[in-house]
Amino acid sequence: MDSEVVPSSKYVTLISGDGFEFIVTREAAFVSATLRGMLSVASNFEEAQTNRVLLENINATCLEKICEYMYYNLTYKDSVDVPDFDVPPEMALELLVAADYLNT
Amino acid sequence: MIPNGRRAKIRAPRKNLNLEVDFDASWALLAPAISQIYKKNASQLSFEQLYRTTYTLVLRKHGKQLYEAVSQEVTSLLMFIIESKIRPFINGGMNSSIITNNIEFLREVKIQWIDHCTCMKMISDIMMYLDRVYSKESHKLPIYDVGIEKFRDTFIRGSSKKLGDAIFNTIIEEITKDRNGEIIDKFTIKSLIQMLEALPEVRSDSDSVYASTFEHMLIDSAEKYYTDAAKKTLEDSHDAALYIRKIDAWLEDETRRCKMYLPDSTLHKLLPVIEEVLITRRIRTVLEFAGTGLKFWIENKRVEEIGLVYKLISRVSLEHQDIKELFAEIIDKAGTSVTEKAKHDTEQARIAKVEKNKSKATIMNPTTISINWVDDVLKLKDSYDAILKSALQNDRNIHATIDKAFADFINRNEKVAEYVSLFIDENLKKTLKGKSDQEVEAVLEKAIILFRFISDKDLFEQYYKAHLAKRLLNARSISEDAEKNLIAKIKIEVGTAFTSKLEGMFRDMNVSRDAMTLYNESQKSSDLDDSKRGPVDLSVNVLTSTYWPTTIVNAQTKCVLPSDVEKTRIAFETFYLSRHSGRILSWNYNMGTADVKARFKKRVHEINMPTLCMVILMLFNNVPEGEFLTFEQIQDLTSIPTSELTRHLQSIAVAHTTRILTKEPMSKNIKPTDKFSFNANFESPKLKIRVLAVSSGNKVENDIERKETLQKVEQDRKYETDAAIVRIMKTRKTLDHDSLIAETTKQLMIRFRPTLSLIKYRIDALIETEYLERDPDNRTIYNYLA
Repeated sequence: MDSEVVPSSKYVTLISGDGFEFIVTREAAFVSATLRGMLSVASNFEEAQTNRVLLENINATCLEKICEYMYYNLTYKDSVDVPDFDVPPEMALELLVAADYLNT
Repeated sequence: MIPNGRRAKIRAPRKNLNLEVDFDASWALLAPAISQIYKKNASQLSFEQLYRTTYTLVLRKHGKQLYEAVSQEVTSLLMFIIESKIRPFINGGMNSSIITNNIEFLREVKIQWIDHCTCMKMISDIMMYLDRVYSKESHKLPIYDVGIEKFRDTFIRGSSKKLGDAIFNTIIEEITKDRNGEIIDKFTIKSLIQMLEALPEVRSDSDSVYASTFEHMLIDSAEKYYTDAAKKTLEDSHDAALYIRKIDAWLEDETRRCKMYLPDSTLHKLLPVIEEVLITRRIRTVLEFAGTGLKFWIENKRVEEIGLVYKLISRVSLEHQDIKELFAEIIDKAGTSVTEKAKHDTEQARIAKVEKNKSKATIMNPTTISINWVDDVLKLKDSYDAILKSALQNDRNIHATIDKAFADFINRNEKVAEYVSLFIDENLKKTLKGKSDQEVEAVLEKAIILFRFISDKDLFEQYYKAHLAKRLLNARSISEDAEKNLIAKIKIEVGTAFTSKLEGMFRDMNVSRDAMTLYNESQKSSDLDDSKRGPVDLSVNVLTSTYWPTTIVNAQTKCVLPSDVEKTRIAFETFYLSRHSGRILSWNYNMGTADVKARFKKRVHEINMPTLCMVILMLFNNVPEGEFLTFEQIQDLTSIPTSELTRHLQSIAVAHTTRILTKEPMSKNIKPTDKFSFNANFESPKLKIRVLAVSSGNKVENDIERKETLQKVEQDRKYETDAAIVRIMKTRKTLDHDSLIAETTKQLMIRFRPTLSLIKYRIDALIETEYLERDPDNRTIYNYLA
C-alpha cells in the first residue's frame, strides 16, 4: 500500500451509478489503482476530501461483486492455494469492463 | 456448457460505450481541469468525472489526440509559469542570464519543480487509463515522464537555453560561496541537484541532465576553484605545513559537501580531480620547500606533518613515488654528510699529527671517528624508523626505499665494513661492560642492522675475524654470550657458510681450554719424567690455521726462548702431539704474554708483558749490574727480527710508565747501535704492571694495511666466484651466458656485490682451465666439462 497516503478515515464510501452506497475499508478500496488515485490524500481531489466516490458507470449488482472481490484480494494477497473466486457467468462481461475501468 | 442445459444469459454492459464521443467537448472539460490542478484547486474537481472522460476518450480511440493535447497543455502552462514566476529574477530579459537574487531565484525554481511534480502526479493519475492503454500500446512514455521532459524542455533546454545556463551557473556560484565559507541554502541546492538528476537527457536512456551536463560544469568549477586556491596559498606563504593542512581541510570539506547535497557518484569523480590539482601537481614542489618541506619535518621529527602528507599522497597513489624519491634524496644527503664528517675528522687528525698540534682535544683518534660514524648512522636510522612507525604506518614500500637509501650511502663509504666491525669490537670490549642483557641485545641488534646494509660482507668478515681474534686471544671480550649471540644473529642473516670460521674460532678457544686442563693434570701426575716436566706455567691456545685471520696465523716470529720456557714448550708439544698425532704446531710468540716477577731496588713488581719482551728481559738476568747489551747483541742472542725487536724494545725501554730497561742514548727511536741495561731504579705506584705492545689495539688500518686487506679479499672473491660458477654449472650442465651471470650474481650477493667483469673474467679462466667450454654450435652457451 502506498505509504505516502495517510488515511484520513478508515472507511470510504463507494456509490453505484444507480445510487447504492457501499462502505468499505480504505485498504480494500485501494486494491483498485483507480480508486487509489482518486482517494490519495496528496492529490487532493474532491473524492479525497469527502471520502465518497461516485462510480457512474457501474451498477449496484456489479459494485457489490467488486467489493466482494476487493476483500477477497486483500485476504489472499500473500497466500498460496487460493480458493476460486466465484463469478456468475451472466456478470462476467460487465465485471470485465469494470475491472478494466478500475484497474484492479 | 452449463450442465443442466440451461443457457446462461450474459448481461451486456451498459451501452453508453457505443455513444459517439466528441473529443473537443471532452477536452473542454479536461483542459481547464489541468489548469486548475496547476492552480492547486483540485479539491473542486471530481476525479471520477475526469477519469471517466479520459477513459471514454481512450476507448473511443482518441488516445493519440489526448496524449498530444495534454503535453501541449503542460508545456504552455510551464511557459506561463516561467514568464510569471521566474522572469522577475532575470535581468535584461529572457536572453540574459544575470540573476538578481541568487538564492530566491533558486528557491523559486525549486518550488516550481516540486509543484510541477505534484501536478504531474495528479494528472497522470487522471490519465491512468491513457497510460495503461494508449502509451503502452504505442510505446510512448507515460504522461508523468512526458511532464518531466516538458519541464526539461522549458526550464533547462528552453529555446535560448539561457534559463538553463542561469540555473546551472547560479547553483555553481552558490557552491563556490559555500567553499568560501559563506552560508548558503543547502537544502535548496540539494533539491535542485536532485531535480537535475531526475531530468532525463534528450535522446538518452540513462543519462540525466545532471550527469550529461551539470556534473562536468561542477567538476570544472571545482578544478578551477582549487587551482586558484592552491596557487594563492602558495603565493602567500612558502609554508608547506600550512599548505598540506589546508588541502586536507579542503578535501574533508568537499567530501562533507558531497555527502550533504551532491550525489555519491559525483564524489568519486570530483575528488580525483581536486586531488590531482592539489596533491599530484603540487605536492612535490611543496615538499621541496626549503625550510618548511619534508626535509625540515624529518629533521625536526614533525611526525604529524609527515603523517598528514603520507595520508594525502595515499589518496592519489599508493606508490608514494614523490615521498620515496625525496626520502631517498634526503637520506642520501644526511648520510653523505655523516661520512663527510668522518672523512673530515680523519683528515684533521692526520694534519694534526703531521703538525704535532698540541691541542689534543680537537684530535680524534681513528677509532673514535669510526665509532662516531656508526653512531651517527644508527641515530639517523633510528630517527627514520621512528618516523616510519609513527607517521608512515610502516609502509612497506617506503620502508624498502629508506633501507635502500641507507644501503646506498653506507656502502659509498668504502671503509664501512671496517667501521662496523670496529664499532662491534669497541662495544664488546668496553662499552657494554656492566650493561644489562637488554641493552647488550639492543646494541647487537643495531650492529646487525648495519651489517644488513653492507654489501661487501666478505670484507666485513675479514675485519670481524681480525677483531674477534684479538678479542679472543687477549681475553678482552667482556661476554662470551654476547659474542655468540652476535654470531648467531649473523648466521640468521647470511647463513652458516659465513659464520663457520667464526664459530671455528670459538671452538678452538674451548678445545684449547680443555687441552690446557688436561695438560696441567698430566704435569702434576707423578709418573712423569722430571726432564719432561715444564718448569713454567703455561697457557696455550691452539688455533686451526684456516679459521683464523692470516695476519695472525702468518705472524710467526722466530726467537730463542729462555731455557726454562723452551723446556715448557717442548713439554707441551710432546703432550699435545701424543694426543693428536700428525698435527704440526707452530708457535706465534708475538701473540702471547708472559707474567714476570722482577725485583727492583724499591720493591718487587709483577709485570705482564708480551712474550718477546719477556725473552729480551730474561737476557738481563745474566748481565751484571752496570753492564749493558747492545741492540745487535740482543738480536744475536734472541734472533728476533729487527722490526719486532725494535717494537718490543720501545715498549720496555722507551714507553714512559714501563721503562724497565734504560737506553743509551736516551732518545725516542731505537737504533741498532743503542745500548740497553737493566733499570734497577724503576719504580711504579702499582704492584702489578702491564707492558703494552706498541701499536696493538683496534686501530683503524692505515692505507697500506687497507690495500693488503682489499687485495686479500679480491683474491678470495675470485675463488668464491669460481666456486659459484662451478657449482651452478655442475647442476645445470649447460647454461646460456646471461642466465649463468644472473645465477652467479644471485649466489654471490650474500657475500659481496660481484661486478660483471669479474664474473666474465672468471668464466674465461674456467674455460682456460677446462672446467667449462663454449658450445661449438652456439657461442653464448656454456657446457660443463666433468
